[in-house]
Order: sequence, then structure tokens, then C-alpha cells
Amino acid sequence: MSEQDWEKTDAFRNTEIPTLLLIAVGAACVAAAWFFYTNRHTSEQGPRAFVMKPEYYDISPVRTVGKKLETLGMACGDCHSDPTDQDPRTAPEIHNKVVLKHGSNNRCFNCHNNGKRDFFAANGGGQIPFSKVETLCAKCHGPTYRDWQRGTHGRRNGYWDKTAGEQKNLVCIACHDPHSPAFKPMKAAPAPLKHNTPGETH
Amino acid sequence: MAEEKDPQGAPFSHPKPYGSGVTRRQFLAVAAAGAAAAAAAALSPLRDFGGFPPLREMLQKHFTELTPGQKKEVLERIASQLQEKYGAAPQLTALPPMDGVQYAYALNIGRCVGCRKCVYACMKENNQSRDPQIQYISVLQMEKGNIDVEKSSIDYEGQVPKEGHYYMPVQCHHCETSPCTKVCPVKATWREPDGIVVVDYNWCIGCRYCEAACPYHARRFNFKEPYLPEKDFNPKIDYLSNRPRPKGTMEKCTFCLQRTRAGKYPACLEVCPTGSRKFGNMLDPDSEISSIIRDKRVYIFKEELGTVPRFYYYTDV
Amino acid sequence: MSNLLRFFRLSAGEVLNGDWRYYAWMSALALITLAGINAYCVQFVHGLGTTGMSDHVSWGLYIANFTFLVGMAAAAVMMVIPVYIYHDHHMHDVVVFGEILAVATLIMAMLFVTVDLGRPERVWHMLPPPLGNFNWPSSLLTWDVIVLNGYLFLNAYVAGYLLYMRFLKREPLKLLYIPFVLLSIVWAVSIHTVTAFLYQGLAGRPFWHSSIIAPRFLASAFTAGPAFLILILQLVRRYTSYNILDGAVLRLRDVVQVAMAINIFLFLSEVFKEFYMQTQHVAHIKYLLFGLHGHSALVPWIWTALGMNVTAFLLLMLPASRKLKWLNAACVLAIIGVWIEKGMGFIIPAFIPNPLGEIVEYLPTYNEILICAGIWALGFFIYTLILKIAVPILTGRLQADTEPHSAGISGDKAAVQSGNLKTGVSPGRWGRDKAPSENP
Repeated sequence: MSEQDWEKTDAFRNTEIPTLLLIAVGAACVAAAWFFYTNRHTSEQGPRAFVMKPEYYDISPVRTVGKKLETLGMACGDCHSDPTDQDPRTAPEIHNKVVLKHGSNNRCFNCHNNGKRDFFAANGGGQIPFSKVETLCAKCHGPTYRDWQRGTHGRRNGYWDKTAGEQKNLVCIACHDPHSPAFKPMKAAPAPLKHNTPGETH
Repeated sequence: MAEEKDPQGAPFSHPKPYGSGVTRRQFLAVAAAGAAAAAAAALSPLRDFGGFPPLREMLQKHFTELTPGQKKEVLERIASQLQEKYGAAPQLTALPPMDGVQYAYALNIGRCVGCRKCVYACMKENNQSRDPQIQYISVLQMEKGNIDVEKSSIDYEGQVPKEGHYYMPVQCHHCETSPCTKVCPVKATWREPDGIVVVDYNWCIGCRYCEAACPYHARRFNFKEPYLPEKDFNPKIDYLSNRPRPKGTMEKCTFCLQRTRAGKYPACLEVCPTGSRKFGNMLDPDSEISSIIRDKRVYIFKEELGTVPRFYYYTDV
Repeated sequence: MSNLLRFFRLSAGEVLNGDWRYYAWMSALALITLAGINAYCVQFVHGLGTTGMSDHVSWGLYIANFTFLVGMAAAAVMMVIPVYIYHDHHMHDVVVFGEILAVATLIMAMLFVTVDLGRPERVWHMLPPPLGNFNWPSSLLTWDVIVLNGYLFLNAYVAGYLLYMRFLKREPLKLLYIPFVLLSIVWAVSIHTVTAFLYQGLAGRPFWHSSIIAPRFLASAFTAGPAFLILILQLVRRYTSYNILDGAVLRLRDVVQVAMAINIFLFLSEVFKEFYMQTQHVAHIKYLLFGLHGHSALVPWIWTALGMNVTAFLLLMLPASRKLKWLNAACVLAIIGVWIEKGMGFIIPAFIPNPLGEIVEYLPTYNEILICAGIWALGFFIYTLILKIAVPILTGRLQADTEPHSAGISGDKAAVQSGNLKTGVSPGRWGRDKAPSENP
């Protein structure tokens, strides 16, 4: 074997060239056919699996905040005018449905104004209007209120640049139910899709 | 001529036609023709090629080197392409950074409940591909008691927050010494003067070195042509941020610079139901972000890597 | 100039003529290359989504092959050093095979990087300003572009110059090649060090962020490259009249022996550092060697590679490997073992788990494998092509003043007579006294 050189021409016998020709052309045809076959699907689109639902990015806060202190369409002052020394939760309707889970708060009139039922109770017996309900929370939650004012607690929307537009802090009760303020669990938007690309085999 | 023999008795041979009439030359010619046909067939997938972008786009220079006139032309060209594709007239801007502004982001890790609204608000705002699905924000469900991401989960579902877990969203940290901008071979990604790390989608060559370098899994690559339904197209776009990206280029969170450079909050922040996300100008002492950095317990993810991020995790105390 | 044209004409003739084995080999390679081109066309049209890569494992088989091939290219230096520094006469006639190998493997490596790009038509962005925006010296990829192209030029120039001078039967001018050869010694180390630094510098990938990467790369390069050359030299010896002395092969064996020992030692050093006091970063090598959280796609591969490496090493240590049969076995094992360990076994574990702790595995797709096969076939094709020209020049048959194909006979005969066959090849069946007959 070591005596054979690449340039030897007598290695071609009589039948070799035509055979090689047949093989070469045959292989080229097979290759061409295979190329066309494997690419027959390339223009097709698979189904689009993922749909963005509006609830995934819904910007509304978790609670709706009304314009005033009311229940069942009625303002409190419509029915109440005088102070009471009863526990409102012993009442036969409306108030008995309130579940109070607000830390160590066990008295309605810690927050509600006994004399003027359309208002909340400020320290020293004064009145806090519904439009300033954050000052009610601030009676006890001072540091949180300070942070809320600064924008580091709770959601602030609008413009970071005050010269370009307004900043709007969401009021406390837009996220916290005042009777049961702990943030309620919510349904998470979907997890990222797997099998996004062929490589994501998990 | 008499047949020549060499001393061993084998005949000398010369290139001459054999009995079948096929010479080496003829064989080579036919074989070459066959190979050419196979080569043409090999190139057949190119039938489906949508065509190169226009020559002006292919020769477009780096964004930072464009003259104002060239920039205008580029924006007009892209706007008209997008109008044709999505049927809506885009408001394509190229907002410059503001003076005296250094952006920073803070995330209240004590308050995040893992609802993922930020992920989808970001997708909506930033025209991200729906298929393959690209999401800039990854929300990790972590085990209470450690910060080991290996024990975290990204595919939790159902009601959140779950017992025994806390949630840590991760997105581009816009690092001051960002590894991604350091390794890009063509400077297609760089840090703007206001701190935002941006990508010029028309300059990126798609080598994915930045994706390998990023310690926060923040960068995304367009492995296929991105799919965005027409009705989901957000026409308020910026060249460096949320305009629809081409196949084969990198993208990532841009701090919504189309919004933030106009003074607004990013989309992820606006939608967060617990108010866990905070953003603003670090240089403004009255901003909430300055207040957080000054007064809260602030932590940096993978701080030991020296990336110096502009993204801070904090708790309320 | 006319000599140059003659050179091209005669080389073309050389390349188009061969025996049936040559044609079969080149045709098979051409077909595989075409298959690779076809697969690349699919990828070009549809994007890199036709591969198995994802945002989690964003580099895969292409970069794995690129890493391995840069190492192979660097191995040419392991022949250059003995010849030009130590004046080892055994290797003198075979250095050019290493240099030509460097040319072929560098072309392959650069092709692998190119097919990995998302926008290959934008590769001109890497030109220096004012045309492009070349991020040198910050980005290691730019260093890699410089050193790989430089090394390609160096080897192509030196090999081309020396072969061309041999073709013209002129003594090459020392000034025109010795400085370049000496430069290529340093440069060879630099190409693989720069490629190692590509990975080594990334703090975000703890599997790569280790000072041992560059030495490991060099050690494995100097294992696989010379092993490959050992096999090539024997093929050249078998199929051509170019006599390659055993001394060259055995000198290369020495290199592979030592390099494989260092390669294994460095790997064990890495293993110790990871497993002795396990930090969170151990996750990557755990995934590679033992699997992680139920994912173990790479485990059989890496153990096969380690087994091959150790077996090759033991074989090389035994005197039995001075026999070609065992030496060839050891070389094949070493090449495949290093390819696995340094290719997939190095690139993929850095991405698993990803920086956020998630595990997404990687499996190359059929299309991806075809493109890789196509580039490998093209590399072999180029290497064979250049050797088809180089070997006849070295044997003295292809010279400026001979016509090689009126008969292979007179070429050899003239070569013997003019004393060009310095390597002492036996004239074989042809170089006898009898004059060839004229063509009928």
C-alpha cells in the first residue's frame, strides 16, 4: 500500500469511471430530492398558543373606592344622628356582617365617628372627612403614612418628574379593606411558556 | 504502439478513453454538473427568504453616530415600515436623556405578592413578541429563610402569595459597570448618560455575548421573527426601547425610556397592585427613590459581582 | 508572475486528478457540505430558532465546536517549536502539515462563529471606526477576531511561502519566514488564551469564572491537535510517496503524553476546588457530572469523555503506545474525549442552572447538527485540497519546471535525478531507468 501514490492513474479500471459517474449523479439526485423534501414545511406556521388577556395587566387597584362613606347606596347620616353606646355589630342588619380583623382594633368607634356618622373620628373627637381617610389611618400607622406621603409605600401613578405632570398616590383603602386590611391573595397571571424554542426541553 | 510494461509487469497507463468511452474529464464534467444541481437544491430554502432590509438600513451607521438629519430619515423609514406592518401610525420618538437625571429602580421585596402583572404590563407596553414569548421580567418565588435562587421557582401558578414563600422579580438592572456593555464586540449596547443601558437593534449582530455575560438573565434574543398581533401593537414607541424588534437581535428592559424620558413612570410600576415598585431620579433628594436609598434597608442582588446595579431591593423598615 | 500562474494551473491539475479513493472522499465531503449549506439556508431564513438554543442556554454546539477548533489550530505550534527553537530534524519536514491544519481549522472556527450570529450580514459592524464600531480593547471577541485572523494569515503566509519556494526550487529567504514563524509561536498561545479569556472573564457565569480555564484550554489543545496530526501524518505516509519518519510521529506522541497529563491534572484540580467546600456555584459541575434536580443530559457524555481521556493517557504512558496501533487508538480516544470535555462539557454547564437558578437543558436540533457536519466536512475538504497540492511539492514531483501528468513517471524520475527528494523516499514502482513512452 505504501507504494501507491495519489497521482496514479492506473487505479481506474475499465468499469470504474462509469460506475463512479453513476454513483456521483445518483448521489446528487438523492441529495437534491432530500433537500426539497426536508424543506417542504418551512413556510408553514404552527398555531399561536399564547393569548394576552386584559386581566393579566389590568391596572385597576384591588378595591374600588367610592365617593363617600355609604353602604347599600345610603349615607350613614341618613339613618343615624345620635351617638350610641351599643356595639354596632350587635345590630340586626348591615353592621353585623362586618368582619373586623384589624390587628388589636376591637372597637368600631376607634375609627368611626360616633356623633357624626358620615365622618371618621380624629384624635380628640374631631372629624375626618372621607376625602382625607388617609389621615385616619395615620392616627396609628404613622411611619407608614410618612412613607405613603413620600411615595415609598403604596402605589403612586403618573409622573416621576413633577414638572412634567401630576403624581397620584393611591389612597390607603384602594388596596386595604379597612375592616380587614391584610392584603388578600390574588390569582397570579400565567407562568412563562415552556417549549418556547426547541431548546427549552423542560 | 506496443504495450509498455514496467519491471513488475503491470501495464503503464495513460489518461485515455476507456472501452466505455468515458474519460476522466467527462466524468468530472458530469459530476460537476450534478454537484451544481445539488448545490442549487441545497440553496432552495432561500425561496422563503423575506428579503434583506433596504440597503439604506443595511448600511445604517451606529445610532450615536447619526447626524440629526440621518436620525430623522431613519425614524421616518422605520415609522413607515411599522405602519405598513401593523396598520397603525406609530409615534416614533428618539427621546434624548434628560440633564441632571440618574434613574434608579427600587423593589419592595416585602410587599411583592408575585401576581406577575408587571410581566404582562411590560409585554403590553413594550411590544414584546407573543410567539416565541419574550418577557423581560422574571418573577422568582423564593423560599423564606434564604436568598438561594437555585431553590426558587419561576413557574408557580394559582393564588399568590403562597405560604412560606416570598417573591423577587428580576429584570435588567442597568448596572453602572455592566458586563453586557463591556463585552459587546460592536458596541451595539451601551449605557446612556441617564443610566439606562440600551440596545441599537439595527446595529446588533446577534452574537449573544451580552446574554452570556449578564448575571441577571435580563437579556432576550429574538431566535425567530417575533410575532405581535396587530391589535396588540402599542404605537407610542421609541427607537432605543419599545419599537418592534427584528429577528436575530437582542432586547431587554429599557426602564420604559419612551415613558420615563417623558417624565412618566414605567409600565411595570403603574400596574403593580401592591405598590412594590419605585422609580425616579436618584439625584433628586425629594424623590421616593432617594428616600428609599437613604432610609430603607436596601440590598443588591449578586452584589459581589461588582456590577453596581441601579436596581435595589428593599424592605419597609 | 508567470510562475505563479503556472503554480495555480499545475495545482488545479493536481487537485482534479487522483484515484477513486480521492474522488470518493472529496465527493462525500462535498455532499455533506451541501447538506450543511442547505441546513444553514433554513437557519438563515427562519432564524436561530431552528437550533436548540434558548435564552437560557444561548451558546451551544456551534460555540462548542469553535472552542475545540481554535485549540486544534494552536497545536501547530507544537511542531514549530521543536523545529525552529530546538532544531529537531525529525519534525522538519512535517511542520507544514501543522501549519496547513491551522489554516483549515481556523477557517472552520470562523465559520462556526459566523453561523452562530443572529445577523451575519451585519458582521461588517466589527470593522474599526469610521466604518464599524469595533469595541477593542474592551470586548474579548474583538481580540479574538484580531488574533484568529492574524494567526490565519501567519500560517497561510509561512506555509504558502515555503511551499511556493520549494515549488520554484529556490532557497527561501530566512528573513521572509523565520520572524513570522517565531511570531506564530507566541501567537498560537495567544489565540487560545484569548478564546479562554472570552469565557474566563464573565463573572456572571461561575463555571467559567476561574483562572484555570486558560491553562486547561492550552493543555487540551496540545493534546487533541498533535494527536490529530499523528493520525494525519500516518495517512500521508500511507497514501502518498512522502516518507514521514517515525521520529516525527514519536516526538508528537511525547507532546500528547505530557499535555494529556496536564489536562487531566487541571480537571482534577477544578473538581477538588468545587467539591471540597461546596458553594452554591457547585451546581454547574454537579449538573455536568451527576445531574441536578433530575436533569442529567450531559452525564453520560462527560463520563465517556473522562474515560476516554484517562484511557488515552494510560495508553500513552505505556511503552506499548510506541507501536502505531496503540498510539492511534490513544489518539482517537484523546481527540474525541477532548472534543466532548472542552466542547459541550465546557460550554453548556455554564448555562445550567441559569443565573436565576432555573434549569433548562439543551439538545442540538437536527438542523444544527447538519450545519456542524457541513462545516467539518468543508474543513476536511479544504485540508485535503491543500495537502493534495502540498505533498507533491514536498516530494518534488510538482515543480515549476516539470509537467506532472504526461506521466507521474517522469516527474518522479526527474525528482530523483535532480536530488529533490531529500527525504529519501524510495522511488517506488516508477522511478526506474526505463524512459516513458510518448503518448500514442
